[in-house]
Amino acid sequence: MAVLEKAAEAWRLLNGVFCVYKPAGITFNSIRFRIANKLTDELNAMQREDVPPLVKILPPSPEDDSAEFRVTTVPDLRRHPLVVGPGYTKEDFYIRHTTGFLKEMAGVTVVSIGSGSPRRIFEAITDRNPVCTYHIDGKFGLRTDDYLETGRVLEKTSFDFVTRTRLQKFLSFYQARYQKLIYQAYGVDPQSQEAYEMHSRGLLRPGNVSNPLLYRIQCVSFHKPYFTLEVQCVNETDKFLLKILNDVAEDLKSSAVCTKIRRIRWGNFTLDHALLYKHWNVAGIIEGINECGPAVRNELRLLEEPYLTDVKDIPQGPRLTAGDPILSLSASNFPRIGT
Amino acid sequence: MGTALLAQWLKSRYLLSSILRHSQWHYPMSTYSTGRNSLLPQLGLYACSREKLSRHPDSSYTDIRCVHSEVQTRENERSRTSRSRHPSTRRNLPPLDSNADGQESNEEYFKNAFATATAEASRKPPVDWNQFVDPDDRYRLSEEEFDRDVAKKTDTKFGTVEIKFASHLAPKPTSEMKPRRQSVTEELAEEPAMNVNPEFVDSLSDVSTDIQKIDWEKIEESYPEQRPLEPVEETDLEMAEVKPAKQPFSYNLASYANESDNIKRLIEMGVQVWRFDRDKDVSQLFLTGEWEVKIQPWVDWMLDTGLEKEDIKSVLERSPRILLEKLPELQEKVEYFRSKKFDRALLKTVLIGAPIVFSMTVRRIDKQLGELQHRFGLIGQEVRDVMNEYPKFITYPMASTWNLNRLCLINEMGFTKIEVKKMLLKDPRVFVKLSKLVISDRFDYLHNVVGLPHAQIAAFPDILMVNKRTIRERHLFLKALKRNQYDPKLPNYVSPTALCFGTDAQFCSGCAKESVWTFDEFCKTL
Repeated sequence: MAVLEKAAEAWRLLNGVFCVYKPAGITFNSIRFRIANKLTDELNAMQREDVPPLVKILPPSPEDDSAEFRVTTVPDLRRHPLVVGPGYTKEDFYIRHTTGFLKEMAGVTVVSIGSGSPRRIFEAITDRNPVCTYHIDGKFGLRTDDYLETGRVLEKTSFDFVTRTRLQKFLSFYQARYQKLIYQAYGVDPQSQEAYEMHSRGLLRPGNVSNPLLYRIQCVSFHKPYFTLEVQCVNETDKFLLKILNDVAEDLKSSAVCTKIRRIRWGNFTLDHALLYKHWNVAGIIEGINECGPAVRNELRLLEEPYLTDVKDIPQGPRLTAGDPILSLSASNFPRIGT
Repeated sequence: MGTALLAQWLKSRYLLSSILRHSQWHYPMSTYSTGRNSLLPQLGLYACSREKLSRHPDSSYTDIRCVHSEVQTRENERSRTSRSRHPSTRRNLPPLDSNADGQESNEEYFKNAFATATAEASRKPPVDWNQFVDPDDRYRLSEEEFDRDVAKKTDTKFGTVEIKFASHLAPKPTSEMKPRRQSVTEELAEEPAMNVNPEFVDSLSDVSTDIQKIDWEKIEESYPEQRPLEPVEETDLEMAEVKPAKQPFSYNLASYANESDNIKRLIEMGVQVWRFDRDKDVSQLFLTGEWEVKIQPWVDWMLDTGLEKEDIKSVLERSPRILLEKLPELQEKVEYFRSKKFDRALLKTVLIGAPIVFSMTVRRIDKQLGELQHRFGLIGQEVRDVMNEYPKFITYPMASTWNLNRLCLINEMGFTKIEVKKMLLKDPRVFVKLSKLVISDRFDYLHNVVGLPHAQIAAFPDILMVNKRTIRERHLFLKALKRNQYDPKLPNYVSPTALCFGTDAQFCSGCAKESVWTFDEFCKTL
């Protein structure tokens, strides 16, 4: 176990990308403020660098019978800790984190600290919009204006007829509809050899980052009126996730509100990496940066794979003829779903 | 003829004023004087009804002002009498706790101390503190000095220097004198660009000859201080003491730390000097003021009031502005607190906990203490208990903080007045540190979700100071383990203090009987 005594050593280690578990109810900005304040307090409480003494040249004086100039050192009060004050301020920390969600969302949030390479790595991996996994908790029987449990109630509905089988039936239909749309975006028949080649290369991701895409949706728990959906998607927004819940409930001839949204995975970052609120301090963050190292490396490896933006990116396989109407659907005019 | 015209004019004025009075003044006065928010109190007319005004049939605007001044003088008299009755503002302060001599009052003591200190200071060799003063002050002359300087310049004994402007260097003519604009061809013909103006060359030679005419020897005789510097050899002993001049301005006190004795003394005491950087007046005081004159009397006063030597450090750190207050005024506040039966130990806690109280006026302190006693229905000893618990309480404004929270607790949350008073005596911070919304949010969770009754929250008011997130995590963990039993009469009781305070390890071993790792994993599911 390494022991850090000096603030400067800790400061040097506070550079990197890690992830935290954001509790529900606090804003995303308060992650940054909390981390900066806590680090400032802790670093200022650690040891500081020793102050070099002040060199003084004394003239020869007749009192001491010294005929030469003498060199002495005295403590330098100009750099005394009581005079210069705390060594670190909260503005010294360059902190970035992923945002763009309701403050009611809880879960894995990626944070980078340091303005050099950590910042560049963070920007690169967040621009990519990796696949995220969400748990959405819902409750049947209510509809509110903002789809949340805390909102204004618009209507009450019955939900006795809702069963787990009916719910799963709709979810598989919903998932299949999205898969079909992905193939349509490339202009490929899902039953063809071309589609197989595309699939064998990895995840199908159209180049357009503004359209949310859903890869997998399933029901992980069902205790009426409460139920939980697990959703894997890219380019998602909070409204998109709430809309999924609403779509599901509407199709079952009922209505539902969201009680909790929890992100359990962001790319390669999982709940195991995430730091709890009480661990957002110097020791916790340095450990977190270490633990997140492999995940960051995996994310960077994914960056080398290009987006499959067009059919031309596929190396082999028969091509469609030029007059085929399905080719007119490209990534740019990809139909938006759920809005 | 003239007098007749004047009389006519006066008559018309009178008519006009009477018309105005009957049409405008009387009507609104009678209506508005009933309302509380009328403009009339500003005019001093709130006591006047229509009948009173009618007693002055010829009253014009000036008469109204007379009434106003009468009311004001009456008010002044009332306030003067009440102030003189007030114990804190009496001119002749009674002697404080009897000294060993029992004769000197503290006021006299401080006067004597101040006099001796100044006498001692005058005996010392003078220090050139001016090097730390604002540099502009040296060059900023008073008006008389400025005039004298100007006069000196005008009647110089040596030859004057005249500068003749060359034609193209001459000041530009103003817009009035602006000549007619010439065409481009004409301008070019008059002044070719590349040619040197011969007049300019002549003027240069004139200046040089004028400078040569100056009698430099005469200047040296009459103004020896303006003589140029004599050469100094490097082997001179004086050269060893020569160093770059201190900048007379700085953004912090650190650059003066090696020179200033006051700052050295503060560092020895352990005071955080960097806190004074943002306060210009205080840093000026520490740089220019002599310790024995400007600081020591105040330190003596603090020691006399009840502080120990170690506590002076924290008071200076937290509110150095106390040094800018006048000693008699500070003593007046101490006197006021003593009249309210604040003993020496309590004064010490007030001075350490909230030194800023001594920067408030006696009137304001009295008002705040009175409001505190009145609103919560406290007896004198209870007021002193609150001050002992949290002396900063009276520095917060009543209407926007603690009274608002008090009303919120009573009217919205349903605490009784006795419970609120109990909460105040247990933890006064609840009323000033939290906003109304935060209190109601936390109370809502504790009462409606956790299920603590009013009496239990009133018995442990400090749980309102804990973050809702912490309470929520711990309560839901206990609920998942089926250990959420907050009734003291039943077994497996979890007290609100154990729920909210203490580290996670203490909570997990004491209340939840589970490992901290399990608790952390549970927190990640919320």
